[in-house]
Amino acid sequence: MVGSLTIISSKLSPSQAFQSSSHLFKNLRSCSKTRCFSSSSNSEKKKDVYSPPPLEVPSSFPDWAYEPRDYFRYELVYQSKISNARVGRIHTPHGIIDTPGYVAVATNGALKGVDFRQADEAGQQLVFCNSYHLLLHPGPEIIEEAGGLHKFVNRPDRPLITDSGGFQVFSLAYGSVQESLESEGELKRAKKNTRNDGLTKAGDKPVKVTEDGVYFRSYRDGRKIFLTPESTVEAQKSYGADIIIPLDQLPPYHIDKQKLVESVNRSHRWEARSLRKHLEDVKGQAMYCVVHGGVDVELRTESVNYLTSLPFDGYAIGGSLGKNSEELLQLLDWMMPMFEEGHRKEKPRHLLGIADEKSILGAVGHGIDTFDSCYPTRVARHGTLLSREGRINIKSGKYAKQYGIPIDQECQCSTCQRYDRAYLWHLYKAKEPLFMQLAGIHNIQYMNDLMAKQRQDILDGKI
Amino acid sequence: MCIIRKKIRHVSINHAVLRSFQKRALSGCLPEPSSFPSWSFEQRPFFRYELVHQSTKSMARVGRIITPHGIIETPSYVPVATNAALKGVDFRNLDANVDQHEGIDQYGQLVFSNTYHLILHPGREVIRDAGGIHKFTGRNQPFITDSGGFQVFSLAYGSVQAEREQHSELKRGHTVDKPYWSTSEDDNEDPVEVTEDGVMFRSYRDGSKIFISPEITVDAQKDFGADIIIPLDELPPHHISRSTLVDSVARSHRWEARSLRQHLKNVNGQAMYCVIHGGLDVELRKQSVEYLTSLPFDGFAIGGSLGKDRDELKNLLNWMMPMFEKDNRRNKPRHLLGIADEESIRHAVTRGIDTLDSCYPTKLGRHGTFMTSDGLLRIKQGKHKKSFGKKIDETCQCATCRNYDRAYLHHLFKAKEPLAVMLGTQHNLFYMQNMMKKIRKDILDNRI
Repeated sequence: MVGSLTIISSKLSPSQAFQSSSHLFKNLRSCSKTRCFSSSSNSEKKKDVYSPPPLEVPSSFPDWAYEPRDYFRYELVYQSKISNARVGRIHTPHGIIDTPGYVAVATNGALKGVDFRQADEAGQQLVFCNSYHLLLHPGPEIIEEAGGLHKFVNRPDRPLITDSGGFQVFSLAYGSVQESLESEGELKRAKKNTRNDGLTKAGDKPVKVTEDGVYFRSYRDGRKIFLTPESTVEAQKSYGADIIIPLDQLPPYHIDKQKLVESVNRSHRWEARSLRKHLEDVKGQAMYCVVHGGVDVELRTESVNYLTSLPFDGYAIGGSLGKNSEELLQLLDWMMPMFEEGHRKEKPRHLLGIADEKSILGAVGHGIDTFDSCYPTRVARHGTLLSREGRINIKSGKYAKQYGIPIDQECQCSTCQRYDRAYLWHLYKAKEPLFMQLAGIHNIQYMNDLMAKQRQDILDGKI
Repeated sequence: MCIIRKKIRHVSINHAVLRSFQKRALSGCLPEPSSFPSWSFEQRPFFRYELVHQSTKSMARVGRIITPHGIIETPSYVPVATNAALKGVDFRNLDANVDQHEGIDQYGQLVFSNTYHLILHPGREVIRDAGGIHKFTGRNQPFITDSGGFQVFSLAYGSVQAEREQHSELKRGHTVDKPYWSTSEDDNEDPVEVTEDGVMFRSYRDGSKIFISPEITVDAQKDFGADIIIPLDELPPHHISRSTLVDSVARSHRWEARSLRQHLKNVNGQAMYCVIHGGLDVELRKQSVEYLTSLPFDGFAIGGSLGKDRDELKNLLNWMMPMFEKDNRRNKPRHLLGIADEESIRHAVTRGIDTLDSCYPTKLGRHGTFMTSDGLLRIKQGKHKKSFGKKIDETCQCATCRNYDRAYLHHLFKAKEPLAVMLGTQHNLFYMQNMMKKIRKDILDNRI
C-alpha cells in the first residue's frame, strides 16, 4: 500500500491524497495499518465523499509530444468519395500495416495452433498480444531480457500491438461481454451487493477497482496483482510492441448514466496518466487512446473531444459498443464523423474486439482502419470455417464425403491447397490437433483476403 | 493341440470325411504352404526389397523398399499417424525432409495408421469412397496399416506397462488361471471377447460392439488401400504360462494364414507382412519364423511380447534375427513393431531390422520432451526459462529450431499453448528422420 500512496501523492495535493487513500483503506478488510486511518475517516460517516482528481489538460503535456513521430505515422492512400471509408498504411518500426486491416490475437505471445510464419504467409500483418496474460506468464522481466516481444516470439519484421489489461478487469468481474449483457450488469458472485458500479467493496471478488488501479487475482496461481496506469505502461515498455494501449476501465453495458459518467472520467484520468508515463520514455512506441462513453452520444462526444486533444498517436474505440451488430453500426454512424475534423483524420483508428464479418463490413464504411478479434481463430478451432459461401460448420455429417472440395474454392491458403472438406471433417471429429492448425491458417487467410478485397473495393469506388 | 469351437452341421457323414476333419483338427490345422496358389510365391511387380549394402561389421543393411507410392530407404523410422494424421504436424512437413536421389523415382517416408481407429472414425466407407487413404489425406507417399490386433491387448489390459504391473490380471479382476480369452457367458462385461473366429470390441467412441476377424480386417485394409498391410494376430501378455503361449501362437498362425488367404483373393497392389510371435521363448519363436516365412508373405514383422525391458528386447533380437539370414528370407524386409527409442533402434539396426514404428518420439514431443544429440531435454523445467537465443539442438535444422529458442518454447509449454504440440512433435520427427539418415550413412561406411 505504501507504493500506491507514493503514486497518489505525486499527482494530488496532500489533502486530496489523504482523502483518496482513506477511501482506499475504508474498503479493505482487517489490516493493522488501516485502523489508525479508518478511525479518523469514521468522522466522514462511511459515506462516499470521494471527489476524483481533475482531468489533465492538454497544456500539461510537453510541446514536442504533439509533433508527429518519425517512426510511426498513418499514411492516407485513398479517401472514398461515397463514404468515410479510406485505404491507408500505418508505418511502424517493424513494418507496414495495410488498412483497413484485420488484427489477429495471439494472447500468450502465440496464435492458437498456428505458427507466426504460417500466419505471415496467410497475409497477417499486425498481431495483438494481451498484456494481462503476458504479465502472468512469462512476465515482463523475461520478455525484456529476451530483448522484447518481437525477439521472444521471433517475429522481427512484422508489427505487434499490446493492450493494457483493462479488458480483463471487465472479463473477470462480469464473466464476458455476453454474460454481462445477460446478467444485466450484475457482478459475478455479487449476489447481495447493492453497489453495482465497479467501485466495489472488498469481498470475494476476483477484481477490485480503485482510483489508483485494479487488483486482479492471477488465474494461474491466485496471487494478487495490482495494475495501475503506470505499471501497465512499464510492462508494455518491457514488451516493446509497436503500438501500446493505456489503462482504461470498461463498464458493463447495462449501467446508469451517473455511473457511466464516473467510469468514463476515470478512464480519462487513467489514460492521461498512462500517456504521461509513456512520454517519459517513448522508446519507439506509439500509444492509442481508448474512446469511451458506451452508447451515449454526449459522453462519446466528450470522450472524443478530450482524448483527441491529448498527444496520442492513434484512436481506439473501446468501451461498450452496443449489444449487437446493429447497435454497433449505429454507434459508429454518429461517432466516426467526429474523427474527420481537423488533424484527427491524420491518425489511425482501431476498433477493439469486434470482428464478425457483418460488423467489419459496416465499420469499414465508417472509416475504421484496423480491428482485432479472437473470433476468426476461436471459431476455427471449434470447427467453424469461414468461406465466401458463408460459415462452414465442419462437424456436420454432410461434409464427410465432400472429397476434393476445399473449404473455399477460391482460397489460396496452404490448407485449401491440399486438403478437402472430407478430411477436415474427419480431423475435427477425431479431435486431431492438426485440425486447429489447418483451420486457423485458413480463417486467418480468409480474413486477410476479405480485407484486401475491402481495400480494393474502396479504391474502385464501390465502398 | 489346438481347440476349435466350430459348429458342425449334422448331415450324414461318411467316416472318411469325418476322419479327415478330425485329422485337420488334431494336427493344429495350420494351412500348409502348398495350400496357397503358386503364383503368390513369386515376387510382386509393385513391391520388393532391394539390398543396397550389407554391412561388413554386423547384420545391419541399407536397402530400398519399392512400393506403389514411393521408395522407402531403410533402415527407416516409421512415425505413427493413428487417425490418418500426425498429432499436430502436417504431413507435408514430414515429407519435405526425405532425401530424393537421382532418377525419376520418388522417395518417400513410410507412415503408420491404425486400422482399429480408422474403422471407428471416419469408417471404412468414407475412406473407400475417397479412393483410399492416399487420396483421403492428399498424401501420395507410402502408408502401412495394422490389423487392430494390438488394440485387443490394449483394451483388455490397459497398456503394456499397466499389464506388466498387474501381472496379467484382467481389468475388472479376472483371475490369471483362466486363459484370458476364454469367453464363458458371464464374461460379457469384458470390453473384449476373443474366440477362434475373431475378436469382439466395444467402440471407445460410442460403446457399440464391433467384430473383427482375419477376413474382416483384411477387407477393411483393402478399403484403406495402404501399401503395406498386416494380418490379424493375437498378442498375449508378457506374464503367461507356456502352454497358454503355445495356444496363442498357434491361433495367431491360423489367423494370419486366414488373413493371407483373404488378401490373395484381391491383392489390390498391396503387400502383406506376417507377424512373428512366440514371446521370449526360443523354440516358439523359431517355429513361428519357420512357419510364417514358408507362406507367401511379402515381408516379416516382429511382434508379440518383446521382453519387459530394453535388455530383454536386445537379447531376443540377438538370437532371433540370424534366422532371417537364411536363404530367400534375406530378400524380404523386416519390421519391428512398436519400438523406437534411440537405444533400441541402434541395436535393432545392427541385427538387420529395416523399419521400426512407434508413437514414442511424437508422444514425447507433444508433452515437451525434446530428443537431442545430447539426450532428452524436458523443456518445462525451470532452468530453461531464461535460455534466450539457445536452440533446442544447435545442429538441428527443423522449423522449430530454426525459429525458436528454449525460453519461448518453455513459455509455450507452460502456458499450454496448442502451438507447443506442433513445435515439439515437428522437432522430434525431424530428429528421428535425421538420426536414421546418419545410421544409413554409417552402415554404408561399415561403421555399424
